[in-house]
Amino acid sequence: MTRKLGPALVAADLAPRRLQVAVRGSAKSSHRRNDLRLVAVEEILFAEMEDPDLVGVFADAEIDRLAAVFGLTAEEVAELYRPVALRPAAASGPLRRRGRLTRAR
Amino acid sequence: MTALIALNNRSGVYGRGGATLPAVDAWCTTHFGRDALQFCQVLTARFNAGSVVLRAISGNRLLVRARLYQAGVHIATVALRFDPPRRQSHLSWFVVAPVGRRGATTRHLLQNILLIQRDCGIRRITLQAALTHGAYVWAVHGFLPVPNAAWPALAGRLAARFVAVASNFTASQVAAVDGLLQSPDRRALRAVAALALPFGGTTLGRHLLMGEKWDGELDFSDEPSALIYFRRIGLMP
Repeated sequence: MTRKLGPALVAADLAPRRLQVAVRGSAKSSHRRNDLRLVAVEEILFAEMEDPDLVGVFADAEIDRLAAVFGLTAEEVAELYRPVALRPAAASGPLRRRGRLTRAR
Repeated sequence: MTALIALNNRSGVYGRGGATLPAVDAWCTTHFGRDALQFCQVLTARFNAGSVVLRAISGNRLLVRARLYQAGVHIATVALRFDPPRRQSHLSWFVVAPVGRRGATTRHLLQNILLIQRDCGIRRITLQAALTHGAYVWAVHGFLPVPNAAWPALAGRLAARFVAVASNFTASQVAAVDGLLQSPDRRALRAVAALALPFGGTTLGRHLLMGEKWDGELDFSDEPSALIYFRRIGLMP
């Protein structure tokens, strides 16, 4: 029988005793159930990149290097890789406050 | 039977066991230069705790599956294979729990893994870029399709997808993108991913790569790829 993860465990401090619980909970069925609640890393990576990274995902030097490799003109580089920002700061809403990863004390 | 090491980095308490622990210790000492416990300490650095399953297999390879905890919460799971004789590692499973969103979980974990890869003499990381954003995300992390011959097939799929949206762009833009997609050079994937033309609320590069799948590699001997990766995981500004 596996123990159901609940708010108590989520909120628990990670004392060694509780770590043992986490380790013992490594039965196959437990893994499967937990993994269903996970989000693939690609989603997380994308979230971590944040919007400004959508424009200019590479440094200018890398763009210039790619332009040289593929024979792009300065006009094409400007057109394809350096357009205006997708969401100007003035048009965007206020930044959302991020939640804490650690408990407030 | 595998070796299991559980660490609580906050209290300094750890436990380890498993019939193959001596073999894992020997592998770590030989290829990593430190024992299995220190291997796990590097892997879980900056995380509160972790439980790591390790198994040395044929060919002097080591399989690792780690579950990481932050403030008592399971925050990430990673599975990877180290193959020092071939100087490569394969990232086979890497998931971060929703609580890790918009934090530094991924960057810290990739940095920890990179430290181990460095000490093990790893020169190449392989993975399969897939799922919703993977084809785009790993491209902007510096990964390239492997083998080289896989790029034309991927480019063909991207070209078919671009045809459907080409009417939204100018003739010169279409010609430039077509030129990239017809290039036999696999680095064109990087040029496609970087396309910053706004489309559908995102960029054209991301739109084209969304939902795609390709086998990728990051070769540290390729300086541009390595620099992109180091910047992306926060090791360089």
